[in-house]
Amino acid sequence: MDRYLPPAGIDDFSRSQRSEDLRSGWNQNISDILGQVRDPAMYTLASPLFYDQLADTSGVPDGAPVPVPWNGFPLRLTKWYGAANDAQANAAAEQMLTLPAFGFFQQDGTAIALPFRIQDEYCEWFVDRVGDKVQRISFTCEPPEYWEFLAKIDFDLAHTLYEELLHKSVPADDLRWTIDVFQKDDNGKLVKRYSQGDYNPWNVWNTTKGAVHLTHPANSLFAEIALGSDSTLGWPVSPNPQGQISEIDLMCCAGRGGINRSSDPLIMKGVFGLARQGLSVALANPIGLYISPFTLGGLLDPSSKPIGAQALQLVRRSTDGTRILRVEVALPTGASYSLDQCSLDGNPLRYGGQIARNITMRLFGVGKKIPGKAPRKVKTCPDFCCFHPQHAEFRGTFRHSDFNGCADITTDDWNQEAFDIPTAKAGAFSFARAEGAIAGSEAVLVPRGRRVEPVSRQQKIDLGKYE
Amino acid sequence: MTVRLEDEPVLAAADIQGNSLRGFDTKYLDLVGFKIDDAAKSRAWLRALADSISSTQLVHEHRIRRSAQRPKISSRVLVNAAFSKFGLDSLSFDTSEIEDGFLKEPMGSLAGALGDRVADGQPTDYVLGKAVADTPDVLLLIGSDDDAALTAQTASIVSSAAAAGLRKSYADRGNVLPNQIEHFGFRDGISAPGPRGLLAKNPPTPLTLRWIDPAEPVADLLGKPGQPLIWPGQFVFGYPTQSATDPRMPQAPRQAPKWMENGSLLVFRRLRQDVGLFRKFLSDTSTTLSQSLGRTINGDQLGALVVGRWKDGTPAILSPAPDASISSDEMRVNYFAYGGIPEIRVVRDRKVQTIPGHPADVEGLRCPHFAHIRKVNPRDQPTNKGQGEFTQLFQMLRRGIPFGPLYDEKPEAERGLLFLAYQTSFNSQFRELNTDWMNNPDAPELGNDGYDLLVGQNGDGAARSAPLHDSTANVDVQITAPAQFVVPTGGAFLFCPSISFLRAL
Repeated sequence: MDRYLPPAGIDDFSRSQRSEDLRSGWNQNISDILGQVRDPAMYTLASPLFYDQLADTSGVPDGAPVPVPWNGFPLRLTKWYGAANDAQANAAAEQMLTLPAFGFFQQDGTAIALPFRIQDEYCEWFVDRVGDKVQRISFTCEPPEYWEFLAKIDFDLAHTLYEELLHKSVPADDLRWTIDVFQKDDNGKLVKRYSQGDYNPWNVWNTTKGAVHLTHPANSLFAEIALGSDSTLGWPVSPNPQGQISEIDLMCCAGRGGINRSSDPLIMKGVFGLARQGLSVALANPIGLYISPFTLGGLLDPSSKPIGAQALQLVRRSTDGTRILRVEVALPTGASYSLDQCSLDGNPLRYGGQIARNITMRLFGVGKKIPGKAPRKVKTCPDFCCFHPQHAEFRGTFRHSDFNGCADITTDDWNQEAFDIPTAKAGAFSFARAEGAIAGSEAVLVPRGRRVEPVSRQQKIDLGKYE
Repeated sequence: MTVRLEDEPVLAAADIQGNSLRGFDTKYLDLVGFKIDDAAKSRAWLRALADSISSTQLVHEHRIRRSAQRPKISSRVLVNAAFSKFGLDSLSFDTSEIEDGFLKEPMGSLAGALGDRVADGQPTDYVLGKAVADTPDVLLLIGSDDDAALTAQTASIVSSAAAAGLRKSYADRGNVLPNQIEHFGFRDGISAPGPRGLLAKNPPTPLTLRWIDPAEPVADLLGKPGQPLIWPGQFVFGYPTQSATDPRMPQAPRQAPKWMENGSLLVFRRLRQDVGLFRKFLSDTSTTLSQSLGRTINGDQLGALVVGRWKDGTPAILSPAPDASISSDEMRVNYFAYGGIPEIRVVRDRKVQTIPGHPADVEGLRCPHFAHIRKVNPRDQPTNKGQGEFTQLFQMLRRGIPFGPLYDEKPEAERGLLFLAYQTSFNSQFRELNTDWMNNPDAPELGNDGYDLLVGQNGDGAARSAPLHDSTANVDVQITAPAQFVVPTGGAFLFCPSISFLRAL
């Protein structure tokens, strides 16, 4: 029987004594997420046109996988700072936030603030510096769910992989929670999410000291799956006279995903377009978010000699090379200079964002016509859009149920919408949501910059029945 | 909010060189590269040259006068000048404020980034621009419709330059081919953005003519149908730039040193075209394609898929065959969008005429995603870089011209295109189109796009493929180009300064 493979079909599991548990468990994990998203009892936005590629019994063959591309650099930052201000956006992208944005609490109800990168295009990077010398820049698009699962079944293997990927000795206990961690259920009651000693996805070696997998609250496999599903709903958006739906109209109406991102408008428009034709849509096995094959021909050493071919290592990828999970840029052993002395496309290499701008990300969907399936209609648009009053390229999506119109949107609402965007002043960055003002308090930040909410959060969206 | 004419900036048209915003549009164009041997004498010569530089104002007036002539040719010679960073360095000009990385390197150092063939870190096919030593310090662009007048003027300039310590290091002559085609036989230069901005007359007049009926809701967004109006800071420093979300909303000028104001960045790529190989590809591939699809596909039909236009310029999205009623009408030949477009009224000869719209082709059934014109300008479609409006941020003012004789007249001769394009950011304009889109089989649109088989480069000389979905046969096939028909043979990243900059040298 077919199974859901790990992202890119990466073969970590065969290194484990519990390889069969890992293989069957990962398949079960993905099947469970798909099951949750497709179950109207668990996910109020469940869509009949979103199917599970391996569980489908219609007998209709899948179409060929269709890639959806987007750029690896956070478009939110480009829109915030302006398209003509790349340098500021590059610097901003490497700021790290520590906020209670994940809905986690200590046993006494204190919100837990966790560090995460503000790189929200499913492509995150870490710059290894020794002093002010850049030694290595590592890019990852691996979902946290995979590593959490791997560590749960075989913590030692996860730990070994950490050391291999970071090229460092990593104390195993650094990867574990030091406290019990709770979430609130629908009734506000604290329910244990992690026990002390469990794998902590936001550990120092995946945040402040390295990047092994994604950390941004919006960068998860669940977010990818939920957005894919949400995009197949019958959102009440009018086509233009040529029958086309504007991706912005669609994003403004649905309020799903992030309107300022590269990825989500294209994903939503593409999937919604298939659903409008009555096609059912699934994410292709292996489900994941991928870096496309690329080169760094513009990376030059201090004497202007190209070194991209030696410096670029595609560390984790599918056997056919089309789905890449991890990339490292590092100088050959023995090089007498550091990466910051090199240039990329003629500019001194200062930031990972310069490389991220060269990276095309992809996911793969499949579609087919399953007899008897029709889109579930959304009766009215739950959301609307406004432009930021000071950052004219930056939009926000807001709920009709919460606001009467753009005039109602306050500075605090905008700060919430742009929760992870640093403000640059005199060479330093600050955040609209002051970290100290929230961390440790009762308040839990609900990041809206990219709105894909947990299954349990009930939506005020007027939907037709799931049929 | 609509953009009124008076909302657009008044251009310093007497200070901006004319080939950028307006374009020489001459029948012949000499490109002459120089190395500076004597900085002091060269500076004086270049200062004096400022008086011979053809400004935007001059070129604009020249072209209006010329358009009234029959035939529409003139013996006037137009001159523009551009510098590499190394040229400015040779003149002891302080270039430390330059931020655009491409401008700091010879093209050869970045050949790998551009997708050009490289061996041992060196481009294999370059005839200029491999390194600083063979990158022109100064590149003169000298154009005329009159072959003899141009030859005489270029010789005179080269001679006086030599006396001033400027050694000729490179020269090519561009020549417009019959029916404005490029060497593969396709009409070229049809699609170009229209820079916004006013020429200071009383009343001020727009640099780009406005043809759309003012009653149309998009009358303030287009010059003619299919020609978006772009804020001039995308092409000349010191002016408002284009918004990523609202084409009506001007943005702050691009950050640049004061001395770059009224100047532009100019990328010059010398592209060799192998016409025999291209024809063989069309012949061989149309035969195999015919077998795959079960009906005859000829070379012209395949060519239209690869280019996105028929040889006469008819867009493939608009017609399944060349259509003179479209290709001969400048209001129709570029009026299309892949998401479909409604009819539009234009005012021509003081009469309102309706230009027809057309249905969408989002999936690329009439014009495939890999078609050259679609890869470099997906127009209204969302891309990997954001919503459709973003695409306008990447556009450049192309002023290229073919070089070499027609293939059928002299097959063994070298030929190709002197690609010239003006912008204010190599990184976010030229690089986006060249590297992120043209050379990238995974972008820009949703789905398997494939390579730009016409011009796209993959650096390693390997075969390039693109997927075609044929709706008639409902078959998916791969089209493969076994070799490059277009081979970059060098070039340079240049700064084309204001005329006042030259005077102040």
